[in-house]
Amino acid sequence: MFSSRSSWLNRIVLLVVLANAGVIISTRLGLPLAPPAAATTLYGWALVLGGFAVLLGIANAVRFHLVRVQRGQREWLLSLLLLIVFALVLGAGVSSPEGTTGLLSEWVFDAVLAPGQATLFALTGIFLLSAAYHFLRVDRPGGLWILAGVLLMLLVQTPFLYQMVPESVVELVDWLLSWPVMAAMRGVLLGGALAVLFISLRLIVNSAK
Amino acid sequence: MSPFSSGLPGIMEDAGLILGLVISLMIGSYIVRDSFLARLGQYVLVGAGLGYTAVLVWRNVLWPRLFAPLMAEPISWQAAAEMGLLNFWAPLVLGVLMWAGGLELLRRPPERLGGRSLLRLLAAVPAAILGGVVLGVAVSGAVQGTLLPQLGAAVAVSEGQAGAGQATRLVRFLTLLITGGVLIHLQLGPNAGAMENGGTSPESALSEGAEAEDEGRPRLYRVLLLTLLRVWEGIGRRALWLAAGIVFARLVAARFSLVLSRLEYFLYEVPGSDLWQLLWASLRGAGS
Amino acid sequence: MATSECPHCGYGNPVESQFCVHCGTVLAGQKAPPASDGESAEEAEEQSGDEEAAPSEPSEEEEEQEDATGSSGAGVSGTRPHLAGEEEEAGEEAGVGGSGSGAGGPGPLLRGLGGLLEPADPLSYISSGSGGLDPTVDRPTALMVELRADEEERGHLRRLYAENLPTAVGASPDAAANFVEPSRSGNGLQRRVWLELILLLGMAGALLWGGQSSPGGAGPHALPGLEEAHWQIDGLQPNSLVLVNWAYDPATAGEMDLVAQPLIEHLLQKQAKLIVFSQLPGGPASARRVIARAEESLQRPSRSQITANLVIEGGYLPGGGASLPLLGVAPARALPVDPSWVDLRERFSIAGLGDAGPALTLVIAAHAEDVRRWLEQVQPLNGGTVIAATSAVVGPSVRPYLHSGQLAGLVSGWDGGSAYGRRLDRARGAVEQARSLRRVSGLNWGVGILIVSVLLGNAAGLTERRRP
Repeated sequence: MFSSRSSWLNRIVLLVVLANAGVIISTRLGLPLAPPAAATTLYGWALVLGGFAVLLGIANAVRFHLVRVQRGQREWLLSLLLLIVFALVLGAGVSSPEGTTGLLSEWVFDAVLAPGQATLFALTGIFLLSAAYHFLRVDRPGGLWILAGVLLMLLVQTPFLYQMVPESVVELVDWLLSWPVMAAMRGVLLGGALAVLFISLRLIVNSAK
Repeated sequence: MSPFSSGLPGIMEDAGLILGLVISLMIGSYIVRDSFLARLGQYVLVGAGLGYTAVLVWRNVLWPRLFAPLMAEPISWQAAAEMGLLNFWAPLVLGVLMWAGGLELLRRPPERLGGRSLLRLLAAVPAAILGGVVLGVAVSGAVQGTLLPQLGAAVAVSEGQAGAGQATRLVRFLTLLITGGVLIHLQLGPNAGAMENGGTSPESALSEGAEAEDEGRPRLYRVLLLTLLRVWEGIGRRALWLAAGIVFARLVAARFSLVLSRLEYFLYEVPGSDLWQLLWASLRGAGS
Repeated sequence: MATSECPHCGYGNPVESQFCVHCGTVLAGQKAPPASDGESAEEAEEQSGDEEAAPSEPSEEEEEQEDATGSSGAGVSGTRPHLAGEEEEAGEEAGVGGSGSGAGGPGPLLRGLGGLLEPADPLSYISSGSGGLDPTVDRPTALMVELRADEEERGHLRRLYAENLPTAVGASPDAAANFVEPSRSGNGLQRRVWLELILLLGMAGALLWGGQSSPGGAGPHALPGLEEAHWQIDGLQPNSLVLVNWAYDPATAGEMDLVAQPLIEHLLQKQAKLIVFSQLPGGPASARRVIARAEESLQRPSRSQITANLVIEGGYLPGGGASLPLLGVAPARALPVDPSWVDLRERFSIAGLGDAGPALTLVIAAHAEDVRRWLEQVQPLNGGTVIAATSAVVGPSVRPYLHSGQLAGLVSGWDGGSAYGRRLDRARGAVEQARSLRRVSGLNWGVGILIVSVLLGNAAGLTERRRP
């Protein structure tokens, strides 16, 4: 009985997904299957539901760390700290009538979020060097082409090299960017768009089965 | 510290500077090794980020877009009852259902679902609506924003129309050739590479040709077609490699800018602050 | 020594490792395999605990969850991608004679990175209901045979990338499979740490002493697209409505601020009215700071006056691509910000967007995805003029949109921002010039070190190759 109910539920869900996707696609492509206002309403719902979904995601993360602390699992102390920081920042934001533009929230942004995120992401720049050391090799597949691309671009974008290179090299890089590289990236964009189309189709067909 | 938090007492500003420096150093210590300090910094960052985002979503999205208009005057914002129903009450119900279903899923699954199965069923509706909208915009956006304009531009280039600029006929042809080659490469993989490395391609091509002959089709045509595809794919693949090199060089510029920005923070912003100057002056005074 | 296998690359790491030494996958929480030297799994788990956080025995519920996920074949292949190929082969063998969707079930929806690394064959999915290339169902063609060969090569490459130092292509795959486990302080890791330290010291030294060097030269090269962006903003009438999609947060602000600020300065010079919104939580706050700095550099009166007259903060817009089209069809509905923050006059300005649309849209993005999303979801609906200010790495990826005319201008990277700034009609202070010089010097040193390390890497590769 339960499995038949589950299958019934799947069908309902699929129907709702397809109906909504159909409304959007027909409106966007100018097919007179649904009024344009229906699509606008759906976009508005997506915006608000997106907000609910973000809060639900935060609730999930908080629950995960709560469980960790309750059970004394690995790194529970760090989880406890995370929860305390979360509660403090939440309290600071909610207590201020201006929300995230209030003084305390701005302080948290300047003191914790901005320096922390910036440092975390800057680490990738440092690790890039060892990636270049390991993988920019002439004996890899296409290594010569990749190295040629790297060196040409570095010649033009690095100030001390740019002052040394002749104008013809700069023009060559501009030309490469405007034509062959642009054409290759266009191929990638088209491939990606086709992949989205086929994956959506496959999703619908597989679900319908 | 930015001017946006300068209204706080001086001690808070100083504390903010120290806190930012400490968190940056803790997270930056990851370069040496993944230590307790590095993880501590990351946990603090995540906790603060979650709290900040929760406040932002409530104050900037749900309150002004949904709850404030509903609490003030349920139908005044759009001046029509029907619109108020669609724009406020419906998303509110859907959002509450999503929350109820989500919290239900976060709980430990019971042995018998009982009446809660209805809740799960209802909670699937907002998820399905969101999924449908995502699917719809992804498909229509890919067609309207990428497929049609890019195909149009590629064809226009070949015909010397819009977007072709000052390019010669040869360049326009090369552009189309490369775009086609990349698409073939993405679809069929590096066949030319297999042929170069002594792979199975030539043999398989010949056997394929022989099979085709058995079936009455011309063998030469088949082999020529496969060779053409391989050459075309090879051109696309090489252009992709070149593009990958250029993208890597641009990645270097992007990421090194981030590293420099952080180093500037440590070397100039922190030492330039009032607190640091005060500490430095007192240290020098004590030393002399 | 007891080792635990990395679920991603299969590399044997010491049990106490939190992350894979080679590919960086998180290992924390992974159970060590039964140790051959007599160590029990419990002992191994005890060793893996940190001194500051006491690990506990797994609870009943965890065990239940592990059973639920770990016992199924799908769960195994899901957590062990490096074994996926072997499992798929086994699955294919088991499925011989089946209808394709029988034993193995339908193939994965998406193979490889976004379906691009490995070719997708949607027609075969539709026709057979199984994976794109199922040899048991489809007649093997030359291309399919080559594809399978390509799979093997890709597997080989994957193993090569997992090594301490990559072996030259063409070397025996067995050599990659049987390599000796390096210690945590192996040559590769030592070199990595040294390289990173040299880079940091080089850049720090350049920042400390590079500000005193003479400027010289005509500044960075302006890549194609910058001229057009400048021309678009320069042609704006006073009080034109400009929609600004602020698609970056503090994570990438170190680079993106350098790109965004000159354009914002130019827009404020032209007295354009900015309606700023972001789809990132950190976006609105980052925008406020850059706009304040731009105002400061233009020596405008005060922040409050600027905010009231020229900048409307549309705030945070969740929902990703699903909610973005609302900005194209009903912007006044998409951007109702906090009623206590924006007065009626400004709300009226936002409502004006619905009638005529923005005079210009500026997408300031650290990722190509954000530019693409705007051009796919909003521009087809409002047909407005769009210019993009992006991270350096995004430039080449969005260039086709510039070429097709969907983008009316493109400024990318610190070099783009710097070249744009030089076009603005304003004097630069001594502090700003010194900062710019320091950055140039730091970048020079960084790239110099990168080039040397690439040369060293190639030399090391050649040496490895010649070694018997």
